[in-house]
Amino acid sequence: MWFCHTTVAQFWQYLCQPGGIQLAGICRIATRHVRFEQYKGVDMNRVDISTPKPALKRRATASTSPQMLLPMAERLALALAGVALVGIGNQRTLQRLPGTLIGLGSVVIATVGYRAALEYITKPARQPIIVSRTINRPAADVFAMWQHLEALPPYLEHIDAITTIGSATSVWEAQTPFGMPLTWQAETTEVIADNSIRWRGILAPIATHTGTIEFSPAPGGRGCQVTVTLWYTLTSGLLAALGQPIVDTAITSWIDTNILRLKQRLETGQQITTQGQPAARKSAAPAIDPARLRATTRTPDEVTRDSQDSFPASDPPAWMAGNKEQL
Amino acid sequence: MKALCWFGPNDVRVEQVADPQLLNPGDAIIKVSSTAICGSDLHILQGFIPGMQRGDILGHEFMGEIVEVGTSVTSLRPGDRVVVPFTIACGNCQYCRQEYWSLCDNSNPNAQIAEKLYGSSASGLFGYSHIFGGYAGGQAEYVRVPFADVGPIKVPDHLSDDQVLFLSDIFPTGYMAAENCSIRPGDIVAIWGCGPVGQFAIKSALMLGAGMVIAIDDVPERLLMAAAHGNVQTLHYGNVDVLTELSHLTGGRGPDACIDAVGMEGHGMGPLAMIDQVKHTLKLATDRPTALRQAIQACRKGGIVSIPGVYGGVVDTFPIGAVFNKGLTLKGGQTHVHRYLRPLLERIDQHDIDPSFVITHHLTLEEAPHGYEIFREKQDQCIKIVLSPQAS
Repeated sequence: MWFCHTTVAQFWQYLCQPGGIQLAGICRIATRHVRFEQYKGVDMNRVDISTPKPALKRRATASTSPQMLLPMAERLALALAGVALVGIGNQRTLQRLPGTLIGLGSVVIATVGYRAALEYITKPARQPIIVSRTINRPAADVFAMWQHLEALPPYLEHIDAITTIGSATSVWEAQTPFGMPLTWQAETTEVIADNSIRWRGILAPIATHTGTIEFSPAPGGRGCQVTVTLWYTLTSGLLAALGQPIVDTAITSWIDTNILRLKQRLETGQQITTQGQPAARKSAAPAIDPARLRATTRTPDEVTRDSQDSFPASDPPAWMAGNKEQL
Repeated sequence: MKALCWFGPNDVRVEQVADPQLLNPGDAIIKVSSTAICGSDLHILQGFIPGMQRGDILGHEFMGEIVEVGTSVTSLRPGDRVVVPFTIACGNCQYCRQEYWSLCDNSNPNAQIAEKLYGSSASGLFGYSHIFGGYAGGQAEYVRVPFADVGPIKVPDHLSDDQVLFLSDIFPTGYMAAENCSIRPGDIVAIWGCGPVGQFAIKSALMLGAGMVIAIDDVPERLLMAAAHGNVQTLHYGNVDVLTELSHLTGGRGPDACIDAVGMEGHGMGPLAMIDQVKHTLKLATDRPTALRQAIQACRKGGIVSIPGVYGGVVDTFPIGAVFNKGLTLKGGQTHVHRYLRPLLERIDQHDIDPSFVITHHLTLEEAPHGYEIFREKQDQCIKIVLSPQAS
């Protein structure tokens, strides 16, 4: 369901674009290499406007130069892997769709043979993942939640436990949507109180990552902007690399979900849910996990107490102040 | 318990489902005494609202008696008689604090899906697809209401269900539509669609000081009901050319404000309306902006077009040139129901308005599928149906 959601979301975004943009996207893959040759070494985010732009050289490299093509052995391997993926994925269920699409993509890349096409999707950690949300609480309150990492898992999706070792190291135990457990160690490298936390982590043997979480006051008393920036490098093989866009989307969605959950917790004192509601279908049988209910019933742990102290969630809205008894 | 469930386009049935339970400490369970079928439920019925799942319980206009409250609920007790706003609001986020209740940041647990569609998510809604949270609706014997301290309003016993039920949606919706028109004394307000929301928009526009209201529809009994509200000129769009007629009625200026109380399933005359219908039928378009297009075309320079009608996706042939060159203001959005509950309850209590005028049918919950059918087909002079889930 979760996997399906991210894939369908990507597909929807793709559908929302006008046809011209889709075509441009395909052309971009083909021309990217040529265009980027001219700007090698230039950081597009920090272009010094006083530097004269490099002269545009059309077709700086010959379009058929051998270094632009993948070696035949790699193309064959890619094509075989692609065909295998399509074979496995050839079912009439949505769950297999991502595999089929990746397989088809591999076959296309193998057939075209352009190195640029493969690099376009496999280049590791091209951009950091950035997720940002605004929480209607002072930055200090939001920062305080990160001072008690062990208390966070009940509010987080897919995180089973966080154990701190000493002051700077923590071990995170997670469940992926496919049931594969993941454990990684994170080391805090810099903490600026009420402002930001920087860390680096190792998820052997899949990835290494560094990240920051920043808490900055939103303008005009709008609370606190929480921004997570994550750089990661997949260290596994070709197939994992081929799936990078999907991994990107999944991680982005996962971080975003968890920030949303913390926002709900901080602003309302509850985890917003419709799981366990009645409906006329089998899957909607109201099976409530008592453990989850306990997690949402306010146990006076430190985090909850902190948040209650500064801003009781049961506070009525401002306009109701004074006439609450008339409700 | 029994509940009215959606199984696919034009397939709703009353089914036996599990009773709702408290899922959060701020929840309450309500025993529904009265619930209504909304015009926007017809968009779901006909399959034009995405994100529905087989077996979802419908209904977002309901009231009843509190039977159970969560541990953190302080303002309500079992036995209280309440009306519940159809928009769900947490009361604590930046938007709720500014009284933009229907834009609540927290009440939609599926916010990320709505963000894919609209950029940001509005609040959760009862019985209105999983894009808006997947909350089970109120066309049932019982319903779970989250944020019970924030939404439900206690109503006095001397007012009947029929008088206060529509505080849940259509009265505030019609009122906000009129309020969005920033009516000044003597303004002429044209209203497309004389269904229940249209009727309340007409009443509200007059209450807010409009000099004249022009009501546009093609259903005779709805036009008759509209005409009974006071200084209302009715236009049957099948018999007259609406744009010409509006120009005549306003001395060539055009209405000062236009309200589109029709939404995504507009009907109309002329080739553009036919093209809309074909595209919608073939699923080439998500909405039919027939009424909206006409409202923008008719509106006077510098006027306001207020949109209480529900739209879901994207439209083309949208007259953006008219919006720009006439300097129009467009206002829309789900109703910030919480903002209007108390003032409008007061007006009902002071006999300024009796919202029950709009009711044409009282049915039991078992008869709801039949109710949906006659409402959709506008049979039996149906304008508004109220269901009584506890009656058999």
